[in-house]
Amino acid sequence: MATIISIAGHQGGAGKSSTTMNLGISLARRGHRVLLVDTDPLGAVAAAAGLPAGTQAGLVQIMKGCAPNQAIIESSLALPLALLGNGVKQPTDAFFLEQQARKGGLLPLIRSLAEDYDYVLLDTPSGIEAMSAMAFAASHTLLLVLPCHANAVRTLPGLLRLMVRVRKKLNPELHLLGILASHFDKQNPYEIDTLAAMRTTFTQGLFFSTIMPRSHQFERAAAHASAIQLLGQTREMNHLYDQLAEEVINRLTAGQSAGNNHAQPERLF
Amino acid sequence: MPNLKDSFEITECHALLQELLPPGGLADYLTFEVPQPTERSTLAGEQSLFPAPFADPAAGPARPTAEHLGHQTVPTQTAPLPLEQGHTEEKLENALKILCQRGGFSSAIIADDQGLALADFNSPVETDVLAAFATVLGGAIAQASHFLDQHEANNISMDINYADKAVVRKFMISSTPFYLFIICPQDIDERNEVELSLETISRLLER
Repeated sequence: MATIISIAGHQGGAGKSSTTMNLGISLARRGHRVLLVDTDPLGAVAAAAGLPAGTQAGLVQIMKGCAPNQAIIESSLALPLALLGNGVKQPTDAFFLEQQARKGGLLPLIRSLAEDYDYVLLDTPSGIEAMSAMAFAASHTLLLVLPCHANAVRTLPGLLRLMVRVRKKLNPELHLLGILASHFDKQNPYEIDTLAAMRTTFTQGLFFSTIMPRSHQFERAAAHASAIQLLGQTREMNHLYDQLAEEVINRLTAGQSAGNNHAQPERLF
Repeated sequence: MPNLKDSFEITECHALLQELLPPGGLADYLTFEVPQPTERSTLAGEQSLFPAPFADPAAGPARPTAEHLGHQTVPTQTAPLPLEQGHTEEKLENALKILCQRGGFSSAIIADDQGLALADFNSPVETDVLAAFATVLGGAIAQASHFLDQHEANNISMDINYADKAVVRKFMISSTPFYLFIICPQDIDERNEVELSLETISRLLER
């Protein structure tokens, strides 16, 4: 079964969808089978893949029983990468998904989809809502995408409280894989201060070594409805996403071996 | 409102993040090394992923990298560099090594106000000479407040050949100035990495 990773963040524009898409590509380029699932009703991942939001079938249609799972998963032409959209065409579809998330109906679906892949990346909505909670409940681990803005840190506890609650009530195996500092402007002294404050306060090792810089390439990718890694002249960004993928794999491997070391003997009765 | 570092929000974030750590904690990750990515697959540069066609992206200007220009940078090593072991000098040298590896710098040295070297990594000339030179350049920074009336100047950058530059960053510990001197390619913006590493270096010097 795949490792399910929620790409989470509480602010819009933090880089969740870019991270989902580009991390997925980097993992797939290493030969891993990757499924991207757009749990965000706005469908940013589908848009980044060049699939117009609202025109594709997805989670909504599966939940309504209109389409079999495999028929509506878009497979990449060149990589072992697949994408499941949200299938939201009307606002009522978004309400329907939200309802399903509250009822817990999406959880077994995500888990069953994971059978055929090595990694499932869930692009979660911004903010604190049922779809985010459902994604966390279905995930093994969380990758938190955090811009280096003081305001982002000041409002972060809300999302972290939701994560802790999901871990306590719904998914005890959920844990944080790491924090990705995103859209970092190294010319901005306030952002340097914010990153330094977080790195000195939070437990050492929580931040990925990879830092995603602010770059016009993100806007260029969005303008072309493409992933940044598929554009020409983006070697530096490609390298960063490859580095992030390597870190993710290593952390997961390290976590598994640590988990094995701490495993309690199974009880018979 | 208190600044971010002293705010209750960041403290609360820290506490909540502690609750989200994996069962074994993050101990194994503390000296986490980022291996170099392995060779990429043969996917063509501008190929579409999904059947829906993409617009043909216009190629923008590429920023040359140190690799492009053939600069010599310190290769990432595979063994962890313990920052919490050994004497202060050893720890400082490890911090400089990490700084050079992460930032793609070729050399780094820390000097005190008297021009004495406290630690160095990969110095291209005699360490004492470089330390003295760092302090001389540091003195030039101090003059900025006098001549330019800019009291917050704290670094100076100098192109030393066609490809490399020397940068001196002045930092204070208990009102005593120290100087971090690095040599790196001109096309690298070193400030971010220097600022982040100064936290560690200052912490080690304060002990």
